[in-house]
Amino acid sequence: MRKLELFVLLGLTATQIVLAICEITGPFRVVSGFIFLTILPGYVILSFFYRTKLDHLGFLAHLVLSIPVSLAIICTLGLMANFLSIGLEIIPNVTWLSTYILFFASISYFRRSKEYRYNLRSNHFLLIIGSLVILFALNFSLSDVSQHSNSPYLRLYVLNNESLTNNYPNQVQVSTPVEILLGVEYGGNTEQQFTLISSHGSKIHFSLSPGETWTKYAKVTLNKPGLHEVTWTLYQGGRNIPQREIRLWMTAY
Amino acid sequence: MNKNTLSKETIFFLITVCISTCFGTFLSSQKVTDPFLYYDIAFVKSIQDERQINFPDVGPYKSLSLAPGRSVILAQYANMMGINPEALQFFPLGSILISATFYYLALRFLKSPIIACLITLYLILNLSHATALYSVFAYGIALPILFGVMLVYMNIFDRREIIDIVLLLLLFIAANFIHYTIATWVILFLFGANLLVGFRTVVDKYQQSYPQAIQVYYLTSALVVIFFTFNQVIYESFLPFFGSSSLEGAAQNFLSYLSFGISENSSPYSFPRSRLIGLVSTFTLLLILVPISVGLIYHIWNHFKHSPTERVINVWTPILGGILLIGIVDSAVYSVRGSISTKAFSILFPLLTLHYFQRTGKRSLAVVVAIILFATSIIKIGAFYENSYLISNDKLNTTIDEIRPSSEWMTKNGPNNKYYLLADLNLYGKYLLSSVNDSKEPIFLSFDDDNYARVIGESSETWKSTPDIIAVDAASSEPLIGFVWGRYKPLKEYADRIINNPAINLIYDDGSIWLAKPVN
Repeated sequence: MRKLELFVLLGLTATQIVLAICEITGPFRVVSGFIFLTILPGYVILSFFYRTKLDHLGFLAHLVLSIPVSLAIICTLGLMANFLSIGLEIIPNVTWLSTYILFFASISYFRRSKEYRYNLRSNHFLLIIGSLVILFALNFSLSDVSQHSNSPYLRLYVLNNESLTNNYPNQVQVSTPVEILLGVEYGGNTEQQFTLISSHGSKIHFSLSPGETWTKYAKVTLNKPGLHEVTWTLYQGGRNIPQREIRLWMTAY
Repeated sequence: MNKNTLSKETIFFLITVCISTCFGTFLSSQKVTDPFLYYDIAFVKSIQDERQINFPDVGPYKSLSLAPGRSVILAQYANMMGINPEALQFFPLGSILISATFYYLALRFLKSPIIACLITLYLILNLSHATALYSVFAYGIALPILFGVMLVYMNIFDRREIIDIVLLLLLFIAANFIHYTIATWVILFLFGANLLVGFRTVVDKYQQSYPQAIQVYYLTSALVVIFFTFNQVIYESFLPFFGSSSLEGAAQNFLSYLSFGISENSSPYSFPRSRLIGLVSTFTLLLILVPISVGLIYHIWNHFKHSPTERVINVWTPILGGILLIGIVDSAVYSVRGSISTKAFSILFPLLTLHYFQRTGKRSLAVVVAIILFATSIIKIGAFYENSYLISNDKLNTTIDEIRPSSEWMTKNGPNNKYYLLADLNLYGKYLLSSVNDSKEPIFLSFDDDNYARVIGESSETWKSTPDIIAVDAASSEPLIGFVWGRYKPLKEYADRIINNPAINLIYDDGSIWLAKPVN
């Protein structure tokens, strides 16, 4: 391993250690963490065991073969660390992996005289441009995932009289009222008027501020035997278009 | 290798990896994912703050203990990159790792940077398999390991070093911990390659051509023993699924994949795949398989026609044998489990196809075929987009953020500490992920023909397993994924029938998600 390679490896490892310990997140951490896990573990072990034996192992071959070997190493060492309770939390993880990388990088450096040296100069520019494109794309892919949306919502639901989602009153006696709990949750920008209309004739008006929940125990009475469809339809503001609808099927006997 | 050649290889390498990464980023922005990845991500989220990972014996994460390496790798990526597991789910890791390793494998095998570039882009841009390959899903992590095995195995022909054997062993052990399919592929590859080495050394008396073969025989035997001893997947998740009904389901899925219409016994609720996608897939499959079949027949014919001294010894022949065995066994094995797999054909066989075209002596012909393969993937992107399947300008399904309120509602109001949820596999995955560390856990019940008919009101039979809740993504226009990879029409198409179905109560509506409950 050449001096430049050793410095780059040490630099990348040190960067990851600092970012992890200082809990700095963002694009640099994504790039640093990606290289730290995907390239470095395999690169150093191939430098130590492989490059001196395989005199035509070029930089591209070394880089590419580092990927599967790195995955294999972080998998097996990770399982061992987990088994030994060393842990996969960030600090112990970065510690044992850095120790491993630095150990093999150092001893590879001291064996440098025997090995083939890469001619990197002709590919410097291309490598930098390519790497920038890849790293930009990686960060772009993460840009909108971790944010939670604050989009408006409107929810209508029905629960049984114990506020649970079981034992709905599907079998009822004629003319005997049964109780259920109706709820509306609203998240929007302004206060809104709502109307809840049930299929058996009741109509409830109420208003909700953003983030507010409305609940009401309602009584349903069926006067004729047979199968009944009991629906509740929610209208918002002065609109005639139903916004939400729920329904229970009840057999009266 | 001179400086110019190195530069050309590097240029095409960078072009390949850059385009692949950008495409991966595009898929990430479209929130394309494999439904099984939700299990991995939800589990990683649940153990992120714990010092040690304990794989549960019961519950939705039970199967993850069969491939513990995957969770360990994902947990490390999330920690090291400082991102949450939900973001990691859409990180295009596979696009980068697979494109880099597959490009180099193709380069070594086919000795042409442009063909290697085209064939890699064909694979990465192929939307039929992109959901499994582009992200941190098992294939995205394990396939580079398989390609690593092939690259190391190729070195055995150049020289004889014990480190190669050690590397092969290390790669296999990792593959075994990450994905049982790829572990099987590694064994099949080495087995097939050694079979051909053995055949040629015994029949042709060319022992001097493959002096390293003995070492690899021992290694392959050791890997087989390791696999059958330590890999429990085959006993717990594979053998129980063997059966004739699975075969029938596999045939139907395969016909649907090729879009040769729906067979007589298929479900009336099956999702009809676009004919254009099916046509392109069929054409691609034929373009890949026909030259290999012809080449093989030619190979065998030549073997018996000529005397041994006239037969051409090709160092890549064992590699061909290994890849062939993977394709044949993998498709056969998956078919008895209920899905005829074309993954190996699509991923590995193009190497063989182009190799046979190269052996005709017309190099330009191989380039043309590589361009056609690449073009099929481009056409598929257009066809998928046109059909709003996987990628679209419009929203294709409800996001996990939109799912969260209904999940929290179930956690708050559900009567028990777990509830059986009948849902599309993708939708279930979102519920599983959003309920991590909550007091109530959803247990998956999958859709089959009977359950589907009950939900849309076309069957009044009693439930085999009554779900506590039925979740319907009323906004989804994507196929509903059911039992053994069955694809059903989106429930949105039957919205009126669901609403008017007297067998289920509609108890929750937020505009995107409906939660229903079977009437007692």
